Amino acid sequence: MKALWTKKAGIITATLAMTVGIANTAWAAEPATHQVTRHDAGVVQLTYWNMWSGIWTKVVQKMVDAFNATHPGIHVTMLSVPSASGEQKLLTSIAAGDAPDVFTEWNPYVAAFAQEHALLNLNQFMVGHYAGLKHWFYPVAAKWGTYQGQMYGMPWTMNTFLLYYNKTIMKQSGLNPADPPRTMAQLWADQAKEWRISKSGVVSQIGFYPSNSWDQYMPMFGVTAQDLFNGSKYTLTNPKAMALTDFMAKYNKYPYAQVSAFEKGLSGALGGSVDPFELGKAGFYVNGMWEIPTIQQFNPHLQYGAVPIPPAPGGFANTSWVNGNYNEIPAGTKHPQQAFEFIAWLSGYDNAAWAAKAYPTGGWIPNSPVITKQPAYQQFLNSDPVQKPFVSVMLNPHDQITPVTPVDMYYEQKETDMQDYVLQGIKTPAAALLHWEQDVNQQLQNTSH
Amino acid sequence: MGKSAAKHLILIILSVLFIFPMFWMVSTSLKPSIEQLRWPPVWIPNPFDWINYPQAMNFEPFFQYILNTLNYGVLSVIGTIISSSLVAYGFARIDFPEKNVLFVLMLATLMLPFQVTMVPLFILFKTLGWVGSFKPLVVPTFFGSAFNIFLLRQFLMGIPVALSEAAYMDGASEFTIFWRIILPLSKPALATVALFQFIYAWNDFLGPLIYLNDQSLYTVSLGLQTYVSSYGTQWGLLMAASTIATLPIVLLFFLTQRTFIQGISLSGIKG
Repeated sequence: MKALWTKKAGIITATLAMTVGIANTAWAAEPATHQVTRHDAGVVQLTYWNMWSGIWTKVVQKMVDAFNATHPGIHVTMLSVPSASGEQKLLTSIAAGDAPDVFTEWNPYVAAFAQEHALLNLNQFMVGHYAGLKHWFYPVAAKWGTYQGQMYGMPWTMNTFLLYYNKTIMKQSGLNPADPPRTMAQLWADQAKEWRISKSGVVSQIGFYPSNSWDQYMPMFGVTAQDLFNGSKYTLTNPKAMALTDFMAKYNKYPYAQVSAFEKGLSGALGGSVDPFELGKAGFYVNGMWEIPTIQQFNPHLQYGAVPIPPAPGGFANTSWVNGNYNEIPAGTKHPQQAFEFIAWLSGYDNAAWAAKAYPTGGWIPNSPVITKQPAYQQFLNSDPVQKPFVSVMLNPHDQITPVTPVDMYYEQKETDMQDYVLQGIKTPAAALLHWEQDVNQQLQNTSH
Repeated sequence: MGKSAAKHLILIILSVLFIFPMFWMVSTSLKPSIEQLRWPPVWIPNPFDWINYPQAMNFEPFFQYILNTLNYGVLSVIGTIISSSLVAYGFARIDFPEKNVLFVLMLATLMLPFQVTMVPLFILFKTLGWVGSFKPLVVPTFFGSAFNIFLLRQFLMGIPVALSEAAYMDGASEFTIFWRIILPLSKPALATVALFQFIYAWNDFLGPLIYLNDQSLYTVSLGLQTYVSSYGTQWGLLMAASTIATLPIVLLFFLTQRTFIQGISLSGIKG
């Protein structure tokens, strides 16, 4: 029989394999990073992970570069981890004892990680020079990072949510743009005049539609975290939560499928991160301060303003639900003190002036009133009067957060389901809230130790 | 005639269903932003807007990601072919004590989901100092893969024993028989294993996510995620990058499908 595999073929194959292997020795060895790493003796090397991507990576990298330039004894190497399954990478690393020294995580994960003893208690470092950090932050910002009375996540960049209003659409609808809604009843009445839906059901303009998070309306209905969680279980079927959900249920008079298609269709315009309000297709919209630079970029002629979300009877005025990004130090890090120094620096402690200049590059709201008062941040706020109320609401004692529990992420996932049921009219508000409550309490029970 | 027409109709419908996501991906990649998620949808862009492709390549170092993935894919294919064929030959062509028990044990490893072994493996590779490189992804492929071993074993069992016996009588060693007789006859199966392994490596997300700690080493699957952020997805760029990422797999399939078909009735015994 003719042997198809000759010695020659074997040698060629082996040579190819060796060539590929040799060509990849540098690739298999310690990889080069885009920045020069200092391996001098005495320089503490810190690894820092976050889940920002695209342009946000560059904004954060500049901040890291600034820290490295001002701290010769510490060198931070940043890695941008894909947000999908990023927590899996993080938890695997922590379990294997190879966690980064610092990571930035979204607030719902703080309690879950803390419960699993995956994070260091930051209070232990707030002594001596850093004792002032205990009173540095806006109270509402500190709450999210605190679990069972201890801080595990240091607040970094915050988000508040206001009601944007389109002045042009208000005028066209016979409304006074100098008189945006000050109550929920006025919002309901005003927005009703702004919808444009054809006879065949195609939506071409939205008045107002509460498709964003239910939590964002908590302060407006007087709902507090204590109303929703009594310390051991969720209590979502309380009268105030019911009133909030009833408010959402009113909007199921608008065609859910068509509105969703309209919003998603427009969100794909101009690069995929633009919503109907930015394109001038919605009269009222609740969103964070990041909306402003996007409007400036994609629709600079849009005539708009922003006011705190108006309250309902019994609710609080000039407030906001708050969330943000938190810096955490995993348990098992080899350089906890230096890691803490890094996150304290990022938070603006010791360098409020720098933070006041750096935070606006990401469109972020500060974690501390000390930074807000800095001339650079005041200059940023004054550059566009629309920005000011986003920051001024941070001082309101009635600002709210979601209850901080180990099942925050699950709570938020099921919250989306609850909203969908209500907006589609599939469940009554009472039934939807009950379902949600039972679901998260079951999950809380499943994850308790 | 009627039955044939019905069969063809069903096949056409199924083909359209299966190919639709790919069509939508390419179509979206060629649309300007304003058309990408329009309702009613724009099925065929007019005119074609190619801007998403260069923008996608500049948004992230996508060519670097492709190169990294090619490296990973090629090396893992080499490792898989070498190791899996050797082990499969042993299970298929050599009798030794407790062969069946060992085979079942090997198959049992297929039952373990990656998430179960993820942390112990990570600890092992961390101890070896391999985390942060491609070694945890490539080196294990040189130690056999249960699925590929099983696939090759089944194929090798179909090759007539008489071929090996004839070679034994001519004084050939076991390795000679494997290298010069069995392996050449196994081209279709080897091509299948190679394709499966390459596609696995190309699409592998969890492995690179866990083991790679430098963005310059990221693979295509990780790179595609960078177009998705909590502040919005760059749909056009994502679709353009996805189209480019899919092309090598499609090309590979078209290049290798003949090999699969050729080996259907392969036999070396004549007369």
